[in-house]
Amino acid sequence: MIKELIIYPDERIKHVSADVRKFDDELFTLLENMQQTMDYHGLEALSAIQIAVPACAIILKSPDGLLELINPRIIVTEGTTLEEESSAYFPVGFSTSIKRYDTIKVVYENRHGELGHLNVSGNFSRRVQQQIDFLFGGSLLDKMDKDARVDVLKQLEKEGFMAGESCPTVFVRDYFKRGAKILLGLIALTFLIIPFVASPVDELLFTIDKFTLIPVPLLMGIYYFYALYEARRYKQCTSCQMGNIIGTLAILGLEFIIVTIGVFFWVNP
Amino acid sequence: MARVVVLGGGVAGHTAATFAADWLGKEHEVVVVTPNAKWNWIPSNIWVGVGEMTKEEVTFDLDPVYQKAGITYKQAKALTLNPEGNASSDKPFVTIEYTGQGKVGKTEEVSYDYLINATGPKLNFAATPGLGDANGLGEFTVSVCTADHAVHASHELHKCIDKMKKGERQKFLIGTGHGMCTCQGAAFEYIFNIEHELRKAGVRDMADLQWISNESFLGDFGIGGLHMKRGGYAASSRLFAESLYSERGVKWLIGAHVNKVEKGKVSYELLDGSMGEQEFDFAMLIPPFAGVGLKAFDKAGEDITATVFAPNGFMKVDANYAAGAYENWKASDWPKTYQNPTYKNLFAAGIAFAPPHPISKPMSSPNGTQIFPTPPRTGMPSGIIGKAVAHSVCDLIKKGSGAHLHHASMAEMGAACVASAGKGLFDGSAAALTVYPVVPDFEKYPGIGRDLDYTFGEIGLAGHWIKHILHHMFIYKAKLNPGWTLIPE
Repeated sequence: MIKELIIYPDERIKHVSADVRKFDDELFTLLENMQQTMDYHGLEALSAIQIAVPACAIILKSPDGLLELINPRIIVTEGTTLEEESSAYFPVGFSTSIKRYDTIKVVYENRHGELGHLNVSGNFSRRVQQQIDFLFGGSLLDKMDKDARVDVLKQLEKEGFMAGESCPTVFVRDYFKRGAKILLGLIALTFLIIPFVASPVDELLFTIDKFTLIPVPLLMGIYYFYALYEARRYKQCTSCQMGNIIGTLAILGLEFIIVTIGVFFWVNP
Repeated sequence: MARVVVLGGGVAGHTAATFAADWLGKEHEVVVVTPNAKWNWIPSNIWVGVGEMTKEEVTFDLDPVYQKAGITYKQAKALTLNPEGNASSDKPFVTIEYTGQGKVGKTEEVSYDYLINATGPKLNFAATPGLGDANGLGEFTVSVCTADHAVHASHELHKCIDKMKKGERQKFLIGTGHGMCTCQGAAFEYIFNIEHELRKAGVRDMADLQWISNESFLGDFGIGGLHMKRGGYAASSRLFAESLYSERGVKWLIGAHVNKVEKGKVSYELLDGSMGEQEFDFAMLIPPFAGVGLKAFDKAGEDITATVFAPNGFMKVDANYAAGAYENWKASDWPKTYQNPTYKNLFAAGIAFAPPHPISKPMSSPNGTQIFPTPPRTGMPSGIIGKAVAHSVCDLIKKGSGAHLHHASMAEMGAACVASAGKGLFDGSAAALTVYPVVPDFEKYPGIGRDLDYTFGEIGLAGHWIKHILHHMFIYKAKLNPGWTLIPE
């Protein structure tokens, strides 16, 4: 049966495919469907996830005929090349430069669960690597550095292909962090001034510092709760914003402690 | 008064013994038998292995801690187990041989009411010719499995750095030293710490770094990979691992069974059946693990080792050891109570229990050589299992033989993995990942067997800080400092 192809920006392509554990009729039907879909679309290779089935199976046309690779693994690589590459997942006409291994050694199972291996180079090696990437939830986008990926996403967006909800370039929570840092910075300035002033200016600075310290933990608290809200809202933007939030709070907390110690042991007249 | 004997003072044994002592109080006795005088926070051995920490920073003396906890401490190794007693007594006992406390070589029979086997593994260097022998690590490679090994590794690493500073190119080979190893995560962390140190020393351009392991894909780590949630979907650890190796210029070779180690050279067999060699100037290869080799005897003195222990030397517990082929594996095969099916007063915790089967997909070369990671039982699961087993034993003592046994199945628990490079507070970087459950449950979570709501990962400074926090927190806890029971495993 010919199946519908997953096309960008359909995010199901990011699904990690499970190892095939049973070599039965269900697998044979999947392979038949993949072959028919591949032929219908005139493709050279297809992974199961491209027809929305998260199973570790790919099929490829090779000079020796059709190759079925179940649970394929790349175990050895040699050399790299940078070449223009396209994919059936991306819109027709789209291509980009991708760095890949030139020669690879692949172990796999056939439809009966028997172990096989391949040593491939050049374009065929690139094709196998692209398909295996799909099985692990990766596409051409994952092979690019961050800047190139941003450029490609912008290009696709211009052509009318919008990815999922975009991530904000600035999170609102960062304003609270910046506010706390500015206050701490202002207090730190008084540390430099204090050796050069006498009473009652030093007492005034000490009082100002104490009152300036108070909003800092409040801002940290607001930062935390707003960050939790944003982490839930923009959960597609990074796999774990919580790690960054806790890290940021830890650094901010450390700075607060140091500045507080400075106020009470250095500025305090 | 009941006596609980705990064999082993690692993460699982120490957790089990300290909680048991805390819960049982002075009415009962807890005895720890461990050949080591010191407790070692093993994850930080990586930092010792590159010279960023000293042995003293990752170890502490057990004796004062056990004195404080009211635990009887015997610095000794267990030799034999008599779960039915012997001809003269029905009381089960374990025979130990002292390795310290001024009684080196002396043997003693220690009777018990309950025994928790938490011996950890035997580092089976002898499994690969040249990697070592029955006495331990060989002369050609280094290891970071113990604090002493890590100190040695650091010395050898700095010798190489000195050579590179003099213009001599060096090749570093890091990974697993056999086709059936676990702990790929430790080797992964070590190679990137070495890479970090080489850059810091200004000699990175003089070094070739080569990874070799028995994984069938990069980032398998012995648990079939970790997954990071991305836009509602899971991205495989293979993607981030492969980009990390590429970014740091580390070559990789996987699906490899190292079958021989010689001076400056290893020989290996790959999953496709081909053979190859890798040369090295510095090699850190993790050995395979085996049980410590305890023998068991019945009342009549007959050898019942095969009844109590699996062929690999680990203790049989309430697992399904007849699961068969990969396609039949289920989460329910994994043990829940860690109670020995034959002797109900025997429990195992941590690495000492025999897993029912691997977690990663089993693979063999056409020559029949098995090449795949065996299941890891890292600090977090070991600690959780140790505590659950202690809880069960305490309930059995206090409430009687009908007491409910506590569960801690690896198919129902998550684990955190923090692989950090560098030790400075601001110049380190770490991959911090959580996985739930450790053992995939294909029935509950069809597909990859993992719950993506509890699975995440992040690379950056925050994870590096977590590694620092874990180091201090767990050593604080293990020393039984105030509030130690509140710190989770």
